[in-house]
Amino acid sequence: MFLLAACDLDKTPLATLSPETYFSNEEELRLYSNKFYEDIVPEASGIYNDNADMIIKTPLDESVSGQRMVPSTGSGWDWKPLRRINYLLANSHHTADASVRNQYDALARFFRAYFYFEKLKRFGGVPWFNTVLGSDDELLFKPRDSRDLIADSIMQDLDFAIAHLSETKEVYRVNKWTAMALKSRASLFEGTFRKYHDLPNAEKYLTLCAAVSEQLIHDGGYSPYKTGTAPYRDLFANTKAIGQEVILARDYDEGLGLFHTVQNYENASTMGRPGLSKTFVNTYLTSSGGRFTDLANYDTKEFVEETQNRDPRLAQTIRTPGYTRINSTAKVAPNLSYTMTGYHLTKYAMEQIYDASGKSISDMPIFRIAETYLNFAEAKAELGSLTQADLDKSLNLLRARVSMPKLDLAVANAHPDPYLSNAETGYPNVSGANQGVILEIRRERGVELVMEGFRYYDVMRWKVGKRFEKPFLGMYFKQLGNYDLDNNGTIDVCLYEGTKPSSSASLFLEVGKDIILSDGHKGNIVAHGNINRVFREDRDYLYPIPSEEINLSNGILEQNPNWK
Amino acid sequence: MYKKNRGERSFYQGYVPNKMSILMKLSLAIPILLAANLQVSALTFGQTVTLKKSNISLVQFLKEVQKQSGYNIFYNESLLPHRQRLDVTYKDVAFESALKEVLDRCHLDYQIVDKNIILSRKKGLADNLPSVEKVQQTTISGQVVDENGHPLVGVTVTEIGSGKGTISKKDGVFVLQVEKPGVTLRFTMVGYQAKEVHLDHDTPLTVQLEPLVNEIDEIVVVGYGTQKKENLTGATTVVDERLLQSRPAANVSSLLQGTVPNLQVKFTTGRPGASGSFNIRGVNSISNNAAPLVIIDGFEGDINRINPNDVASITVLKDASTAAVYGARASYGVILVTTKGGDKNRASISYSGQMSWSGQTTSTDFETRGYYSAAINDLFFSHYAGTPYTNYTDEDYYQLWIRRNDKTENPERPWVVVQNRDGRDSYVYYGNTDWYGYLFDLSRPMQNHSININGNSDKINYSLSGNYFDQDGIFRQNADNMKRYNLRSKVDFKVKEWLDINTNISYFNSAYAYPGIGGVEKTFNSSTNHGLASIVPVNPDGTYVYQTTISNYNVMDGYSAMLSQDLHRNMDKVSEFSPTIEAVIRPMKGLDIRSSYRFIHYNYQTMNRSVNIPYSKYPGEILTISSGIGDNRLYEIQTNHQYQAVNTYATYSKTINQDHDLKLMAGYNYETKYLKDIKVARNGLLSTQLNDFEIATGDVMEINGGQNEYALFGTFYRANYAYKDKYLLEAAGRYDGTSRFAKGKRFGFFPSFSGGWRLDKEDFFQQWDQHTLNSFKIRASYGSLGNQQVGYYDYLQTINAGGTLKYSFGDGTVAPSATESAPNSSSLTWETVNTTNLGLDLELFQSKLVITGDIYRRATLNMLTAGKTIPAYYGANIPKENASDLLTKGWELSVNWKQQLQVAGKPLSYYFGIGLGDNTSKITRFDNPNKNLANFYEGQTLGEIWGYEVNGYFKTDEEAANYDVDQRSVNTIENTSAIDQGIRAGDLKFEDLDGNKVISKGDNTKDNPGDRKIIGNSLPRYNFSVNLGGNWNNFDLSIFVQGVGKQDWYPGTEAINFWGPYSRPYATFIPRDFLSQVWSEDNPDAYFPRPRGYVALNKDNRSLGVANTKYLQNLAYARLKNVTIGYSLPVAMASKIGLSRLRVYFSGENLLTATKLKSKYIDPEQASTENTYNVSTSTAKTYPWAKTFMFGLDISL
Repeated sequence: MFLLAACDLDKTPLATLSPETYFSNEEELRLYSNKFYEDIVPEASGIYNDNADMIIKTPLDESVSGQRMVPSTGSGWDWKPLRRINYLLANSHHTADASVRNQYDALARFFRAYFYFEKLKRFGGVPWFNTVLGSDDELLFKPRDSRDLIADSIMQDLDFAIAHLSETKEVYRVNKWTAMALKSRASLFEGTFRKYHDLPNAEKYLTLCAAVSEQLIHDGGYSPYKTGTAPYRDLFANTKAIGQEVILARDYDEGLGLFHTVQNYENASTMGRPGLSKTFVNTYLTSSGGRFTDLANYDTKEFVEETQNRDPRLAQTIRTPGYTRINSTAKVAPNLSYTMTGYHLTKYAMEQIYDASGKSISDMPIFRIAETYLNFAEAKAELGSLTQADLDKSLNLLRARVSMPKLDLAVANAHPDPYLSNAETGYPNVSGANQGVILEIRRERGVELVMEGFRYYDVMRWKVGKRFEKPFLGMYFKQLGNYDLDNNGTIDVCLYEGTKPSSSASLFLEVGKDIILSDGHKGNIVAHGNINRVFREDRDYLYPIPSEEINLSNGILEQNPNWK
Repeated sequence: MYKKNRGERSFYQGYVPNKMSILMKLSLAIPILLAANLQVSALTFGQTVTLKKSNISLVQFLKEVQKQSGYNIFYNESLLPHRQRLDVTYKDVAFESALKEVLDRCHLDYQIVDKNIILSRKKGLADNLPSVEKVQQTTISGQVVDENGHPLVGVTVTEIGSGKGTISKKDGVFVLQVEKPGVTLRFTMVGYQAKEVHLDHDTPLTVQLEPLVNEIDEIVVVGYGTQKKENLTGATTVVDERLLQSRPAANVSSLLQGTVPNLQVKFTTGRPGASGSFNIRGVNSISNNAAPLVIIDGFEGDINRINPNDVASITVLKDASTAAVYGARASYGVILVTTKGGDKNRASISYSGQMSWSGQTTSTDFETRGYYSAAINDLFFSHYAGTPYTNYTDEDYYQLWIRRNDKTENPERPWVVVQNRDGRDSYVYYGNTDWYGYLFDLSRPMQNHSININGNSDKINYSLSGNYFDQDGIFRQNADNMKRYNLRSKVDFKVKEWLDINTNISYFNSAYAYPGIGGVEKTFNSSTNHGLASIVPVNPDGTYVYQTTISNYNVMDGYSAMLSQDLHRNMDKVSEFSPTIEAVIRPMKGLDIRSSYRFIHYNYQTMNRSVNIPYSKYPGEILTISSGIGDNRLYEIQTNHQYQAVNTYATYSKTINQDHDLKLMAGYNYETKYLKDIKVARNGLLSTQLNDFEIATGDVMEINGGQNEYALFGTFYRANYAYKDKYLLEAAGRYDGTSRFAKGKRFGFFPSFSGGWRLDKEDFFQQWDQHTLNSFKIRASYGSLGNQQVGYYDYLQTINAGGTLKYSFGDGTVAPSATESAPNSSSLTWETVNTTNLGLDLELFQSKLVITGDIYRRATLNMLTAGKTIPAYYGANIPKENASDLLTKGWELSVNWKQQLQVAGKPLSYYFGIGLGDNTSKITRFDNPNKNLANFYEGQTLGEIWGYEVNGYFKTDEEAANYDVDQRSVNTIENTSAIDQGIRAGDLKFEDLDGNKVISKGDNTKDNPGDRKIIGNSLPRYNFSVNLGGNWNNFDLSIFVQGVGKQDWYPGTEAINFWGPYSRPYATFIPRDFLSQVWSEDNPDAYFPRPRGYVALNKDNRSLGVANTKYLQNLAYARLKNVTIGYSLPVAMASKIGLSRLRVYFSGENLLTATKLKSKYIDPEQASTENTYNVSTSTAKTYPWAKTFMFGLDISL
């Protein structure tokens, strides 16, 4: 008889650990918290895919085209990362060493602040949770917390993070300086959002922003990267983030199979054909610091002409005459198959071999000191306390990097730019003594931070959503015919009507079919001219909450205004 | 121990002219043998009879005599006085005197030959018959053998016409005196088909008898024991042996497809050796993968790891009463497989071999003309993106156009030219490539060889079998290949009269080699994109094509270059060693104690090798894909399982006062399994040919592990009681425990009851003509089973520290991470399955017609499902609770007819059978008060497909513009596309069902589904099978048809064989007549709307992607699954070359399919099997199914 007498039914896990004993040392905390980065640090596409009114592509995001509908699920309403963060916070007491524990609590709270900042931007006030919820928790049916509570909680978390995170700089890991950079970003957002949307306490957040930004500028030891002939370009076209300027970056690495696809996005006819908008290109100053839009006939200058003598960052952001790929001497022109406006993006682009889909490996800056400079200047300007010295230790360092003249506070305020204050092309709702410098700071922010994922929420916080209704234009053509866009003697594109002319051009575009010009046979390229873009001031500054969640909440969760 | 016994008490009802039979001196003999007596007869014969009965028939008396004496009794049925009833009282009377006394009363005589008693009419009674003249006699002799060529002893040989006869003796030899040559002899034996042989001369002859299958009194394997079929009270289906024997198949699961009503066998791939998964009686739980328990020779096992030739019988237990002894694993039904053991009284060697070649079941007539391939891509792509897919210029298109009819390259018009593109010399392609033909070889040659040796000696029965299977798959460049080996040894020792020791050792080994990376399905699927016919696989200088100047996309994502290079190799190896030892003790009469122990060592090894892939875009420049699919990397997994199990149970049978048959069984079962994984990867190998970590030098390493364990313990019982074989009762149950639940929740008790009533045994039915109604039984059962199929440690929350992230901290490695498992409910416990079953068994017309029907109702309670949908703040998957109920109702029916006839002077036996089953399931409890359609809801019929109503297109742009219903929610692509934006002529017109002028999902609830309604159901209904066949003049034929009567499918977003470029515009394989199905002003009634890429690629907001009535597919199909035509050499001829049997046959699988599917490029069965209760949108683009032509050979020595 075969008897397995020990009929043992106790089988405990052999390869997994128990939550009751986990989180008891730094290694376990670190291993667990690593997931926060993957959960919350945006992917490259969330950075470079800066779809608003500065970069035009196809199809337009529905939030820009006004085609947004209330989604049933998803759409930014993901709360899984928060649970993991709160789970660490609820269990980190297993670690006896208070300094270690505080450090990882600080990391968790940094990410919680980051998480809620994204929710705040998108949805406004949402419920604040600092515990791990049970499946029958009453808190699941908590109503939305106020915008004030969310914003303040973000600040509290960041203050804790700033107090307890390490000061050691590590460009791929969160430290004290990263927390300060996030606080600078979040407080500026909240301060300006409140100011332009007529909500109380704007000053409080602007003050917080000015203070933390100043502290970071002062104590962080970061400075603009200035090595080489094109430092602005190289800062982004780099496989290893430059720690001198970059506070936090996301690593992309061929050997590890970690890729993004920015170079394909920039160099394919099928990836949305992104390009800068003409309205935005017009805001690049001339190389002498003057306004391009003050020049006579600025609006009928053709590409070759308009790109001469401009802020060098233009030539380091798009293909301008003389552009060569990195490690190549061949001059290449903008390719109108790859860009719908003609302003062919090059930011982040390294050698041509990385152009294939899913092959880009340039590291993606998430926070860099340049942003803090701009946050600082903007906060101080909005507070009315900006000084020339403030500009000189922040924004003007960015100008200096590209050998542009300084921004002069007095001059700017004396002559606010009519182009930037104009409702068609700028920000009509900026006013007051600092109007001029605020417009200049906004100009600078656009030029410096284009394609870094800021523009949509800048438009939201500045309450200029009507910008999305304005024409989306591209480069200017005086007439039909052949164009040598890079001025190298070969024809790059031929615009024609009717039968195709004979030409050595490598690209033929039939006007009215392949390309629409604003004046029929001449004018600016018109992108998305056939879409009637509508921005509803009473609704579109916030995203709708998924309808499923509204349904599930038994009437407790309220939809954002005017969404249904 | 199971002994197959076809011979028990079978009344031979063959074709016998009545007039003749009266003349027979020796009757067409009918031995009355009880199965048990075969075994008993090896023991001592009783010399006396003890019997006290009144009002019994002579047959009953003879049975009893036979039982007690051990003698076989033969008689001609017509001799017996059917109406005569007897009263007998014997106590220890010599059996012969009792026999004589009774026979005298019935005017019968007898003689004893060896162990046989032959009855005859008393002399003088046949007075009206002419006496037989003594004439000159001839001696005829010969041998009778069975289907395997083994001698048959005890066959009755009768001369038709004279009635003279004899019985075959040792070695099957018979000798018979006949008057002259030119006689017809009839050979009959219980369990075999009768055979008539005409004899013109007196040369010795060998006669082969074919076994009769599906005898009424078959012994059926049930859980922990056997049962007479006639005494079954639950829903038990024995797979028709004909369907196991006549169908050559790669594995047992494919053999079982369609053989049992309501047993669904699903194949998710057509790759060589693909094995199916099972479902019995429809959806039984929404909590997990509902797989029935498979028991092989007493223990849980994998049905696909046994040699199909080893299968002796398969029993499917469908209801709770039959499965009760398996408790918590049997709620989804049980499949019991018994393998062949050594046969008594014979020794034989047999060989069976098959070779086959295959084709596709679907059309593969794809567009191979570069011009059209590129033009279609560009058409569909540009309507979405505004720019074409290709960079072909007008001149390029002209070049493609002039080559469009070049099936092979014309030297004057080369397919690859070098031109300046992107400022440098580049390859430009103008080809007409038949990619399908380049990538795939459809012949899939297969060979399969089996050998079987079995026999016995006095105390030992043995059986040895081996099998070798080898099949190539479809990849032409480097064919995938499946090899499989099986070995099994069964040796049974009779150690003592009261003790048997049985051994059963099996070994299984399989190796599947395939090209590619990420699995063979990925390799197959990756060819479906970005392969324009205009592009060629290899440049003129022999370099591979990957990136081109033709488009921004990589040709087949690199898979064509990879396959052409032929260096990516993968191997999946499985081996399993499984010894079992069993002791059988019979301490007293009627008591039988069995205890067995099995050990299984299972080993799975997988090896994946990828290498750098060189390619060329510019002449003379070799580039390399060195990451992703071109990563120079080796990855291996080693998995080991160790399984141990013990079954010990005792069976006691007793008959009390003749009328009360009692059988009791009780025992226990303990099983435990330990599973361990090691996974290792490293890059930077120094050779592309060698695959070993010794030569891996890269920095990127990956090491992962994993271990699990579980245990099960159960005690079980079954009690059977039968009163006069008329009233049958059974009670069974199991007290089961599992390690998969928390302490205190581990054990459950699962009882069941069943009963049967043999109406034919009742007197009022006895009046009936026994020739018309042979058996009439009604059955009922009710029982409760559990389901423990949850994860190993689901009741615990754990931290898994072995993960890695798609994230790096810049240190050259991917970041490791630890995550907590999904939160759970520690109160998890068994889900309970209560099944009620009513059945009917009917046999008519001398059992020629057999009808079995069952209806059932199965309530699955406390299913382990995610609880109520809660707000997303929870931040994790909703924990599983015992939170929902399901009710499944269904029925099944099988009708079988079999008969023997004389055709052209030769016997023809044929059979015809139909199986039909159906079931539907409804959710009866689910915490979803709003009836949100994103989840299950109370009252939901599983499989419902919600969709919009679309009846056609807008005929004009004006009509579209004037349609006052806002369709934007299902037209996002139309609205954002760069060309012909907005809704126009040729776009689908969605009907505004709720009248609110907006097409929407409403609240996505049952009460407000917006403009959707239930448009179909994804689950199969009315599964059916038809089998028919027969034997005549050494030819045999069998035909098997299988299908589904009703099922709907909405092609999934990636069902690229259906949608073509409407899904992804760059589809490689475009049906050749595709453009004729695309709407245009000239073709307003086309099946598909106006051309635009990606409109089918999202199931929420794109017009073809959202389920709608226009493109809902009817998956009902009927498939000619198998046709086999065989010819056996006449035994006389076979024996001349030293064989007892030689049969050759041709077999075809999946030869014809009737379907209503709107695409001939999709196999309906493939689409059907991918559908489940929650998936109605399968993609049907897995490894293709095969149409197979097979030649086979069976030889027995």
